Amino acid sequence: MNSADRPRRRPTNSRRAAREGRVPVAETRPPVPSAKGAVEGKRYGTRLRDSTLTFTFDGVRYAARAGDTAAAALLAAGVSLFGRSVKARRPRGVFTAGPEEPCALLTVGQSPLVIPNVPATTLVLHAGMVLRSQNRWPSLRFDFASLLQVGGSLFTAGFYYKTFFWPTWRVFEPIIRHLAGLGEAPGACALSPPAVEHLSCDVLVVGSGPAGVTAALAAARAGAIVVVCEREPVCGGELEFEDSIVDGMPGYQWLARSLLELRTLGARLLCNTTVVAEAGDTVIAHTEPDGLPGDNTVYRIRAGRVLSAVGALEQPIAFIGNDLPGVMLLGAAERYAALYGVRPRGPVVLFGNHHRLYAAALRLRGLGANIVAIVDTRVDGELLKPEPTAAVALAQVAAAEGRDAAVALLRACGIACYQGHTLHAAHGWRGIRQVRVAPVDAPHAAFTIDCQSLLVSGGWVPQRGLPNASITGAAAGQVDLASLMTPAYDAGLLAAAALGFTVSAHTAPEGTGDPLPVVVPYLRSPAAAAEEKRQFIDLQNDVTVADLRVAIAEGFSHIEHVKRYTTLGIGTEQGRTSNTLGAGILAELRGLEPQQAQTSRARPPLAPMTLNSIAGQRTGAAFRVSRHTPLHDWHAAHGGVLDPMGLWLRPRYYRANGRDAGSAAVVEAARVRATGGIADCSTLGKIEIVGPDAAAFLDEIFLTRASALKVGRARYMVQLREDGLVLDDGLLLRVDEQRFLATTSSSHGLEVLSHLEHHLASAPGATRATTLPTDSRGCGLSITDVTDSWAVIAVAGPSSRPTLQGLLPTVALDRLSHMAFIDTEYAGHTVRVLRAGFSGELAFELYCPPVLAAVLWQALLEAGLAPYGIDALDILRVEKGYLTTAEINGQVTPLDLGMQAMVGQGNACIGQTLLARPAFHEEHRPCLVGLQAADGRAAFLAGAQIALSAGGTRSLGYVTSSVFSPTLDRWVGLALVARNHTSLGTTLWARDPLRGGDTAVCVVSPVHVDPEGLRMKGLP
Amino acid sequence: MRSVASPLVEFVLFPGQPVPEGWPALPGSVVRDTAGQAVLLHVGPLRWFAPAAVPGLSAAFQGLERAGTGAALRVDGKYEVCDFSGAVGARILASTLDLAGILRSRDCAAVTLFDCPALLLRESGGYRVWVQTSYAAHFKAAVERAAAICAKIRG
Repeated sequence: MNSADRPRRRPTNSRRAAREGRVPVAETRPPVPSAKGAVEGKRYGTRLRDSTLTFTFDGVRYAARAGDTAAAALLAAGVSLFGRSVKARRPRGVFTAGPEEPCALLTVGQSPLVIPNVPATTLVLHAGMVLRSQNRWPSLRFDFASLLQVGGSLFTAGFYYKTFFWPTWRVFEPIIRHLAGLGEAPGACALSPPAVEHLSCDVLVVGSGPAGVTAALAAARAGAIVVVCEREPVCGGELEFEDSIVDGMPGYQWLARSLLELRTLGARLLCNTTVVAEAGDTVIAHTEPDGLPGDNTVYRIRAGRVLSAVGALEQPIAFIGNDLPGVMLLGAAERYAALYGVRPRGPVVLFGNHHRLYAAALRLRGLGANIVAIVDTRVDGELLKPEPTAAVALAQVAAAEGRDAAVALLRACGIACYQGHTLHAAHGWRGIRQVRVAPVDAPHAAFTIDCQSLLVSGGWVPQRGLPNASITGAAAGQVDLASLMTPAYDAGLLAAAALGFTVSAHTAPEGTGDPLPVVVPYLRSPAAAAEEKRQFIDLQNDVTVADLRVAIAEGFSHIEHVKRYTTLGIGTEQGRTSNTLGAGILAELRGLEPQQAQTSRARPPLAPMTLNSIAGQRTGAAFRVSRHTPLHDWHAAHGGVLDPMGLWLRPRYYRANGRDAGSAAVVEAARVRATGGIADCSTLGKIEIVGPDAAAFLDEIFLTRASALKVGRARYMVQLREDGLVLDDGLLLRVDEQRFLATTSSSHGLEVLSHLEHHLASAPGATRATTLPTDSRGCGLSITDVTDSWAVIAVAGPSSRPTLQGLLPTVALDRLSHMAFIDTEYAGHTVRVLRAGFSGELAFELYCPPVLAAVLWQALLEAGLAPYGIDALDILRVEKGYLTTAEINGQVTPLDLGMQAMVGQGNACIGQTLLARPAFHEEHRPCLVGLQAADGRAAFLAGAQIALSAGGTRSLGYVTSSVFSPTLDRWVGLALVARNHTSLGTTLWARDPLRGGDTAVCVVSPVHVDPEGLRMKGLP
Repeated sequence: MRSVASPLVEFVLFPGQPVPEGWPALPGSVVRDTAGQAVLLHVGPLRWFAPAAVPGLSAAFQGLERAGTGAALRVDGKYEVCDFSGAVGARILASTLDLAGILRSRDCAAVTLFDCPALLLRESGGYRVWVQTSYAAHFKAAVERAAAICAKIRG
């Protein structure tokens, strides 16, 4: 026979249609005159709309109906292969119909704007959508890496801990990195920031199935404000499509009426909204419209009570080959039929352990599915129970007439019933072709059944919801309508009553639907040890029964260890289809009783959410709040390089003065020393303390007595923490007898304010020496943050006084002594002129209203002064040995910083008691010193460690600040060094192996420039 | 956002002193003039905020200071003000705060909006917000961003 005679393989409908340029026609939907229909009263395709659309999947164009999910449309088009598993790259189909889907994960969009790992089961199609399968190369049908399956037992649990050592891990690392993972990371973010909404309600109901709607009704009727979160696009859960009667009408009609009543009562129904976490008293939920991240909303909901009605999840059963495409959960198949009008392909076998298999088989058969067999592990279980609707009228009759009639009915429908049987294995390659079935007690008597779909149901387990919510409905184990409605209604009433709402006169609805299933637990079919590596527990990560055995053999027996060692349940479905099964099989393998099985702990988020949703609107410029001074716009417009310092944006330097910070700062600092300059110091914290008890209170706060300060004077003051360490320093101005203005360092304003407020209101402590009554009543004192009420402009340098005098002719600046201040007027506003500075120069600080700042600044510029930035300010203050948070680092006492004189005044202040403890007086305590390079030229940087010798490994301290001094033409710095090594002239080493190596430095006075303070006094 | 005309005063009552007659005594309560404009807001424990010059109020503050009852702090320039009107305005604010939950029976509160310290006042038809001046630029950008996102989601 030559090639011309060899029968050609008949292409699938979709491939032929693609070659012919036609869009394939859905072949597995029942013939319908319209998008929605009914067969024997059973509705199907309820989510479909009449219009059609096209989309592409792996380059092939397909048709779909509006409302279809990607999974439904592709199943309808005959697609069975949707992706490949993570480790072994085994072919995967669709397993579920919801977000718990472990297999059918798609990439949406085209590079670089892609969204990976989107479940096809929840992705609602839009016209023109481009979808791709994942984790395969070069194609889904043939994946090169699937050859790894040949190595079968090589890839057991934890194989990567035991392999890839020779010759070196680095040989394998790039290959494994390329193969590992799922989905393609986007090259560019396609997601816009979500909307965020904060809301509050009395009762939050999570889930809007029959229990959720019932509970919400009860609470709303009692007068509570109710919010309902539902992850599906529509409310209702099973009421949307299952056969049920509630209060005498079909369930879906009762649902519509109830939702209308809820809306009328003011309840808010949030669909497409998944609750993902709770943070304190706030529940966090987010929407993913049409199952796709982006253009979504994050809700932060504060509720008086939370009810969790999240339902139950159908469970799989493990058997050999249970990962083949075509194997699906029974409930999922029913949802595809009911919601999307898609029936399972080809001959269909059902396998499970409860009676609902039989009613489901008849329902699916009614839609045209070719159900050939039911394999039921129960020996003598019920087959059919009375159905509430006429949809399966024959079943009603059979149920009434007993078991034999039911079996006869099923046989007449062409459905073979195998009770007391189990399904040992599914066979096939890229899809299921055949199953092997045998009696439970006679495994040798196996036989095969040809099929193209296998629908599995191992019962249900409650879904995990919020840990602090009350649970109702199927989530509480009530999986049938008749038994859940009254408890759900009561749960709603209870929640409302707990908040003070009156119980209403309405009664709970009465419903009947699928009767309560009696599930005989069955986790996995028997299998020889060698075959257990094909009994899958986690379909996404290829975790099998054999992997659990390996984990146990290697000492991992606790579920939390097994989870991490085998990767059981760590995939995108967060263990929803694998966790309970795995826990049960683990208990079985360990010889434990079933009730001893433990599932692993669920942690938020309870459903996958993008980092985009977690970030909310705090991205880019909005990531962190920034504060602007009143002169911000001027700095930005005139070449100021603005850098965040704490929350403030401050000019480091001005571009006109140099191409980088280092050179510009030197120029600016040199200019201040030579002539003068102005700096924006508005970021200083400013706190006003007012009242008859203000002075006494401040005596407790500061190291030295505030009450001794005269009106019109300022003083450098230091605050201690309760433990005796320095909190902050600043100036204290006495405005009048009962009014003080305290300044703080720019980064400590809020902390100092909090410290003052705490001590104003707090009870006495051992460290608090006070003359005030411990009860704050009768305390005549107020503390107010006025940081934003004052702009501050520093005017420094030899020309500062004459320049300022020209602007303020009525103020006798030459008679304003150091640390004195006076209020005057400029351009109709009050300006406070304080003679003080942070540069060591003759200097003034101008405190003015923000509205005046730009005017005053401009006037100073026109008078000939130039601005200098923070880096220049740093040079000037290091030259003078002034301190910032680089030295006041939260770990030093005032004694460490050389403030012995201040401590010696003996003021009974906060922190004074613990300052006296012996540990603060030991010889290795840090001591503030100045440093200069021993050779007069070398540089040394802040952060360098101080050692006794070059290469020394014992640190004696570190360099806190270092600058190049234009005044001295050398590098100078400040350091905290062990006290017993700080004699003047001592040579030490500044060790900085990462940046510049070791530099010999000499210990000098911290005041490098003008130690007599002549410049500050305005003297030559 | 716009600057607030001076004088702007925060008045702090000393502990143990009685609340002056006619002042909003309950936390979050507000006294308004005959035109409905807020005159005095009880924004914090023992703290009131006077957002505008009102005849007689300044004198009242001075009298209370002289009597040793409390302290009036001029805070000109400390705040910039912004109005949010209608459902759209409320939705923008809901991007950062649970309005109904925070205000409940109150008409004003000291809050944090878009990470900025602010004072919030419920008005008829909307809300008025005073934001500390140094945060105003960030606040404005955050409001515009939230408004754009809300409009896009609505659209």
